[in-house]
Amino acid sequence: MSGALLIRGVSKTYDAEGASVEALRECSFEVRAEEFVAIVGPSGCGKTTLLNAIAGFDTVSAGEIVLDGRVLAARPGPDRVVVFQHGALFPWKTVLENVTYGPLKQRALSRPAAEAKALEFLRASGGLDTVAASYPAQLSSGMQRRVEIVRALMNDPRLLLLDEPFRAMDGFSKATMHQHLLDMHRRYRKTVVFITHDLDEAIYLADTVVVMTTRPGTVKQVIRVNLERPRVPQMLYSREYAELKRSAAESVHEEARRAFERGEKEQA
Amino acid sequence: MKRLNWRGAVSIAAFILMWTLLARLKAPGFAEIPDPAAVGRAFWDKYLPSAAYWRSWAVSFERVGYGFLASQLLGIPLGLALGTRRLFHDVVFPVVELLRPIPPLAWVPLSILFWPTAELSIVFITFIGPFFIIVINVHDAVRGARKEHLWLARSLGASPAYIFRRIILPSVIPAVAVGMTLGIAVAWNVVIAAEMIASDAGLGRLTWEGYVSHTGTTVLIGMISIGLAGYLSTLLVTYAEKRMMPWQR
Repeated sequence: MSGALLIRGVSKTYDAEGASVEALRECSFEVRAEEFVAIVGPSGCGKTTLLNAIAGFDTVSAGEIVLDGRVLAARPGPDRVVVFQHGALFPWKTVLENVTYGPLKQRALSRPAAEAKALEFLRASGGLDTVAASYPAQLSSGMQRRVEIVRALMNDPRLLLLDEPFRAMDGFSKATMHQHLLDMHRRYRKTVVFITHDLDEAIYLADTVVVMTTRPGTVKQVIRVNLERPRVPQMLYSREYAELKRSAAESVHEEARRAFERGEKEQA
Repeated sequence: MKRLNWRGAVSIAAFILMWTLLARLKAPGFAEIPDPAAVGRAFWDKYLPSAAYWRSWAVSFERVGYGFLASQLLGIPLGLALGTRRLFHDVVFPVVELLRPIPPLAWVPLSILFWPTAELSIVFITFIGPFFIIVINVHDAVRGARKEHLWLARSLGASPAYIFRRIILPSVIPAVAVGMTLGIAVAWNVVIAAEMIASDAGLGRLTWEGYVSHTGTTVLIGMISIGLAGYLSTLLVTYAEKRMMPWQR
């Protein structure tokens, strides 16, 4: 189970109420196994459309998505688990029930084994095992996000797909979550595809940053981030980081300006 | 222990004091309105020991109970079916939308003609009020179920039947709770009006008889009893809601 992903010539056109909208046009890039890839681009550039296609929630109009040498069908599976922008913990289930949901549903583990694994993962995620019996509404947004990441990891996915999971957080919480995510990536070595508007976040977390154009979304630039791992906040002030940011910022801002001029909300 | 709401207690005391003053001074419009002490005395002497009075309570509660329960038992499945079955929705929803704006009391004449007994017609009208509320609430909740929950459940291996039972059903519980809260209030509104029009028993009838016989104390005891009955029903519904949604405690 490696998690090598190939996006090959992927296009997506929606036919909404008679009007044809081209969301993606011939997107191609590669993600190595265990790599952390961030996709950035202006609002409406098709980042989430691409993520939904990888997850199997949506079809593509052309091209193919290949995971470990096999073309993916438009059907979701536990090998590709998404952490959504607005969270998707089941509010009527406790933290433990949410986290054990996947392995129990797939009958991958017995209940005692799933609960033992869940408690171990929750403990490793900053001591979340202490809130295993709580409901999601009783947790802070940061804790909820950590539980969601644990829930995804419990399924031992080949791909961990994160759709702007920290967007609504304040700066301090976001910084804490970045370190947490990096720690989980180091510990569990999953291939991660991370969607974001935040260029700093993308460079700090990822091995590769894919910059997308405004709609129809295409790959404008692929930036290899050569910062050492483990990443530490001091790197945000290094010369290498500044160079990477300057290079990416030009592309991103150009696309943001184009999106703005097209009347789209600028959020890059 | 819950803290006493002093401001609320003072407000109620002020209201009773104002009522007493207006009634005793025979302020305009208050000529036939008894003061609180007279109402209290009448209640203590005449109604508290009266089996007929408590039967009025029982009759109204029974009607609200049957009507409300039937509205939930039929309305929740109908709302679920409308929200999940497209063909069923396309065929049935226009009829629901046609009937929904008709006020429950407008059903009274038809109900009396249709049902063989007055009792059944009143229960039916009490059913109609909360019925459309719960149908629409559940229908909207099913349609508004978060796609992320459905997607995630599919990703993790859930079948459509499992998603319906374990994802859609729990996600509509808050809407059912709101429908119940609104529905019980409507059920009381409707049953009282229906009893005034078409019944010889119940708290609505008691209040109406007070009016017909120019007995202000009876009218007020009827009104206060209706308020208390509605409040008790709301407490029961709130208790049920808390049991239904432990995650929102």
